[in-house]
Amino acid sequence: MKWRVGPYHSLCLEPMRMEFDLQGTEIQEAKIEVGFLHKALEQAMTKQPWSATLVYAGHLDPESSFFGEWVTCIALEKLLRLSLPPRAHWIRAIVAELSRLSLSLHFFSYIAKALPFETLLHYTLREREMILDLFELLTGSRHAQHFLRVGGVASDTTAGFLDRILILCKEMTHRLTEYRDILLENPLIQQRMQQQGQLRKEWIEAHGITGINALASGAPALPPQVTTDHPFLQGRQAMPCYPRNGPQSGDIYSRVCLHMEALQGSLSLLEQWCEQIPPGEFLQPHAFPKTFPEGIGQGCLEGPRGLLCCDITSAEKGTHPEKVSFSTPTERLLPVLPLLLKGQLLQDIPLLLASLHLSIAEVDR
Amino acid sequence: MIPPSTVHLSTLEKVGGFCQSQSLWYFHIPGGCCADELLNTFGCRYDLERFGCRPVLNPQHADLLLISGGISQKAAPYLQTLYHEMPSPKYVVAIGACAITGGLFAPQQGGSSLPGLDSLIPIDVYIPGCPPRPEAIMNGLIALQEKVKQRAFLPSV
Repeated sequence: MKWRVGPYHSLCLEPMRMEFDLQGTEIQEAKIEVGFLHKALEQAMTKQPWSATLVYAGHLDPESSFFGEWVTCIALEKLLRLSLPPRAHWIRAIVAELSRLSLSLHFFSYIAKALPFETLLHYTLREREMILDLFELLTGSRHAQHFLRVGGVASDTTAGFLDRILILCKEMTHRLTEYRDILLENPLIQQRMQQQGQLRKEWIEAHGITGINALASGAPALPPQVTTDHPFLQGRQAMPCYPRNGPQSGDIYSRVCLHMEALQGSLSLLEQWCEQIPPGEFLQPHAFPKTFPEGIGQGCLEGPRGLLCCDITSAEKGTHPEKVSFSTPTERLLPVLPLLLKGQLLQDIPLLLASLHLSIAEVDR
Repeated sequence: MIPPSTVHLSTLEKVGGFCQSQSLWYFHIPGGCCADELLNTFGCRYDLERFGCRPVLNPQHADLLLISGGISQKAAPYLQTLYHEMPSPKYVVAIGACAITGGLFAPQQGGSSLPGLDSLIPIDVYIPGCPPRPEAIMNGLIALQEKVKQRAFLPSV
């Protein structure tokens, strides 16, 4: 039997259309169609002046707008050959880690919605509010912060920001134990997650899947030939906080475990950084020119979902970008989905999609 | 002046309008950061369910269609079909600049979202913001409740 669902269906979690060939409730073949959130982001960026580039980049991945901005900022700074004041690096790294925390909690809220498990949903949303409050304290808005500037950040840390991060870390570390007990130690949930939706290692190598999805299957989170050029991102994989202790069988359970590890890692990293942050300037003055030099700026970083890259081409004395292109982790994951869905039961799909942490907005852009 | 041949059930209408306004079950069209903010509004701090708003998974069970984020040309016909599937009386709330005018991604800015949803389906309440705060979303829903209360749902006898 052929069955088409979507684009707006609870099975899909995000706007996409799926076509199944069904035998009972078992999927024989699946096809995926995306493009329902298409906004022409890259094209819109080329029609706007340079000053609007970062604002648009924040809408690349709406759930973690910081990383879209950051990767574009790195590309623009390379184009201008700028070097940042050290404190700007630190503030960026701290806000990025908070964004990672927020997105990890978002992941658990999606898992809770897919299970469905409303207690966990409300737990995660409660913790997430604390992080959004911190964003509001620093930047004035909860989402779409537009905090980054070429050559630094928009403002210095506000009074009490770093202290409140430390309080948050303390409280979250305590609550992570509750999360583990309620989700990972629950035998019924374990049975639903283990041996389900296994992402094979050969698919990861063939399609270039990165991030926690790759790590959960025993592959490296970033391919070895990729170098991310940022003092805080370079050594991230070598840091003790980096998730590596979870099971690496590639099933849903291992992905959820590694997300929990990543949450723990972000917390310990934040605790260290808040105490080590050096004083100094937060923005290089007059760094943003009216016209940009000719050339290509390339930015590359490890986002919360995986490897995120941005290329910006500038023409001679151009008043706006000539060409912008992003490469996002979810678009490399989508070709694997039909392979992954084959042989699954219909009722397992929401959990499987939630565990992959897809962002369709990032693909459609 | 009341025409002599009609009967007006004024109290009953008020009770009916109040009941309807307190059970606005919504079907959500996700997209963009406004969807995230709606999820936070549903969460324990803002607790959307005290307004009688709770999510349903089928448009045929919904009284309210919440649209957040831009709607592309490709999604427009699906959205229209979905709207027609909902039983009457039905209400639509557009959350965020992208849903209201296309926002950053309107055609005049170079994007490909629809330049406003009202060309596609009738919209009852617009909640501006990029994205609007949870308080703004709740305020929009209270405005919708006022609108529902004033609506005469019984035909004149």
